[in-house]
Amino acid sequence: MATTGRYLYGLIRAKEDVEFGAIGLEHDGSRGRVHTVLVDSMGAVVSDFSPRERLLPLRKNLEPHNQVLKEVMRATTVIPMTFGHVARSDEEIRKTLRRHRAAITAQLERVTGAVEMGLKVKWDVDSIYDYIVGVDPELAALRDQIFGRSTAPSANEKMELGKLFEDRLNRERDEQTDRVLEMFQQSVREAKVNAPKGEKMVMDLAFLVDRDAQKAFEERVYQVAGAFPAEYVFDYSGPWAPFHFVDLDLGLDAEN
Amino acid sequence: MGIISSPMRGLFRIFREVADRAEAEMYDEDAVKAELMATYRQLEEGAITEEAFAEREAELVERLDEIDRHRKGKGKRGAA
Repeated sequence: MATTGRYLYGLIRAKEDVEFGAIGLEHDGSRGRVHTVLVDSMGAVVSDFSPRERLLPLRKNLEPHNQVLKEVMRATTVIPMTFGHVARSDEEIRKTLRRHRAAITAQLERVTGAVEMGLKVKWDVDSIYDYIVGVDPELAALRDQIFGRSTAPSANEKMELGKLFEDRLNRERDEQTDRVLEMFQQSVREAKVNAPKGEKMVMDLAFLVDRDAQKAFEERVYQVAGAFPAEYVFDYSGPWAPFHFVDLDLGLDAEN
Repeated sequence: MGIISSPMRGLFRIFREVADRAEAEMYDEDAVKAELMATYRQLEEGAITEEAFAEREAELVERLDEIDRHRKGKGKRGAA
């Protein structure tokens, strides 16, 4: 039996159906019409999608997913779904929303009137190893002791140095992250620290910021960046839907 | 008999586990999908170029196809 399912973008507060236009994931050869499935003053933002279709996180699918969220965010507060949630029917969506009503309401409250901003800080240096050695006298002393002799260092010594380097790199990250978080405390509602990717990344942060405080947040980024040495490069992004600030498991299948 | 065969079995199981784990890592579809999403996010943030994105996406799609082929191959053997 061929049934049309629904692709889910996010959850909003809504008492009547809201139309967002034909900006959804492609279905039957054209962009899906994005609208809401309503129950008890909550709305799931959806478009038609076959539950049997293979759904991969490719650009052609991620682009409309994010575009829809951006569009919805312009109009109201949204709990964004991660990519790939498909329901078999409107009834399945209604049942799910009803079942998780309390959690959805709590999460909507948490992010109401706010957007997510990202902030990545990197060390703009040629060698991260030289840089960390340069700011840590103990590490520099151990390196000189091991490599400053006429005999070659043993594997154990190299491992010891490597461990100390790793340790100091992470300590430096933690210290600078704490410093940045403190400097943003007054400008944001919540902050989340993500694991840094890549050895030159100092920190990867997500902030929940009041929608009307975005400009102030951006100014704060420049102020904070100005308080750091030149090798610290600050890069902010957003506004995004508050992906890092909702904690909700609807028990729906992500992907099919 | 029991004394000789049991450590062999134990060893065999360990080999199987190691092989399974390596295979699971190599054929972890979720990890590849997560990487596709992360790569797209990098593109949106302007951290990588259009060309770099297209290249990486093609690589990851190729890996997903490989996983698919591997899984289908396995399914056939299992059914036979």
